[in-house]
Amino acid sequence: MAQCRSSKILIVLLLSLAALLIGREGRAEGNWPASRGFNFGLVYVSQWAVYLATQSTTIRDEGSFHNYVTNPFSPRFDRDTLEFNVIKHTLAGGSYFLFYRSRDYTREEAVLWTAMSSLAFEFTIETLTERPSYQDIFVTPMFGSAFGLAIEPMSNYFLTRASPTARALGYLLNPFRLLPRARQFDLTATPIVRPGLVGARLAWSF
Amino acid sequence: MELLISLLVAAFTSVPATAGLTPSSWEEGFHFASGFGMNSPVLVRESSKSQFGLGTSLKSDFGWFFAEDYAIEAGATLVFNAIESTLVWDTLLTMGFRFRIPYVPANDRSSPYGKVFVGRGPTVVIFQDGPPPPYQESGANRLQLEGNIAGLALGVLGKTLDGQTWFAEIAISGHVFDRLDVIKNEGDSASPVILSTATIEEYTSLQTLHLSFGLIAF
Repeated sequence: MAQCRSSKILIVLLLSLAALLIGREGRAEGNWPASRGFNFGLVYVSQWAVYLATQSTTIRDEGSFHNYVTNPFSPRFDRDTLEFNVIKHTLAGGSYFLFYRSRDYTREEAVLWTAMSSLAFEFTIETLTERPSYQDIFVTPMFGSAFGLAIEPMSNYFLTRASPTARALGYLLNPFRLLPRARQFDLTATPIVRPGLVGARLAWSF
Repeated sequence: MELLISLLVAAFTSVPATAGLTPSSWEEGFHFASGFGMNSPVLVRESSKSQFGLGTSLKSDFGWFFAEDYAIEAGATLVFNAIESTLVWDTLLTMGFRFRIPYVPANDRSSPYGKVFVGRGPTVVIFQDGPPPPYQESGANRLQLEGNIAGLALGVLGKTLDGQTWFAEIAISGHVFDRLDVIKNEGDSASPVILSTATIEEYTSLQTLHLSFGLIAF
């Protein structure tokens, strides 16, 4: 019982940090729901895509709607291997961090949004097959961000070199640098309402 | 739940921007520190003690600094050590309270701090050369022990000539185990199978001395 209570306190505190971030950005940028929501959504869709592509066997064997609905309410310490819990989750967190940095988030914002994306994965995607994991909730943003913070200047260094090999290495370390800069693209949604037709026209310019 | 709601409400009230963390100025806001170091654990049971050698550690702390002298931090520390052919991987997931050491002068080059932390986490014992006698028949790959954590740390923040803030920290932690899972993996990518779960009745703890160094990223 004590174990369950202390674990829930940790989750509440982590969620509270995320809540502080949302409140903060809400004041800092008038249009945050559009840009921040869009970027978070891109990560979320990518998380689903990677999960479905890499865990199809596990989903077929162990996935269920019942799991999806009940698992978010029973987080636990998972029993995964070192490779999963440390290496893969750190790499995932690092990629979230570098993506958000490529969208012109400050380092502080990128860490917090990495934590948000990690929570979203643990509580609304992976629950199809397993309960949220405390190790993943901590390791993904904490060590992923540290990894991203280390990779980013290395990538930047190589990208400033004249050598094509060095520049290729820069993009290899941080492929999100290939994306157009955040302020260079816009997503526009124009509603279409005609007799017998309701829809939207989406345009992405970059 | 009440705590969460009140913090959500607080989030939409004034929160100043982060400017930076230096030894002399603990700017209010979020700060992130990450580093590495060494550890030396002792496994203590009612009937015996096992001393490990030096191992390596990784740590990250993310916290909210306030009132110039304090911070509340979420911390994650990974401790790796080995004894004979057994790898021990201890994960300390903690919440901590950091404070400036009172009455000790701080300046722009260095400032000492203290920290207390509590949490919970798993310690995994990996059998690298096959399972020992009690687990040979089951073919277990590893044990996972879970338990509560408490610890203390003393550290110093410093600044390099080019303005980068760093930290050096010595800490002791106690990880008292109350649950044991025996685990088997058929392959690296297979889901782990829990062969048995037991409550640990005998006092068993991993008491670790940590020495860490790192940077304040922001």
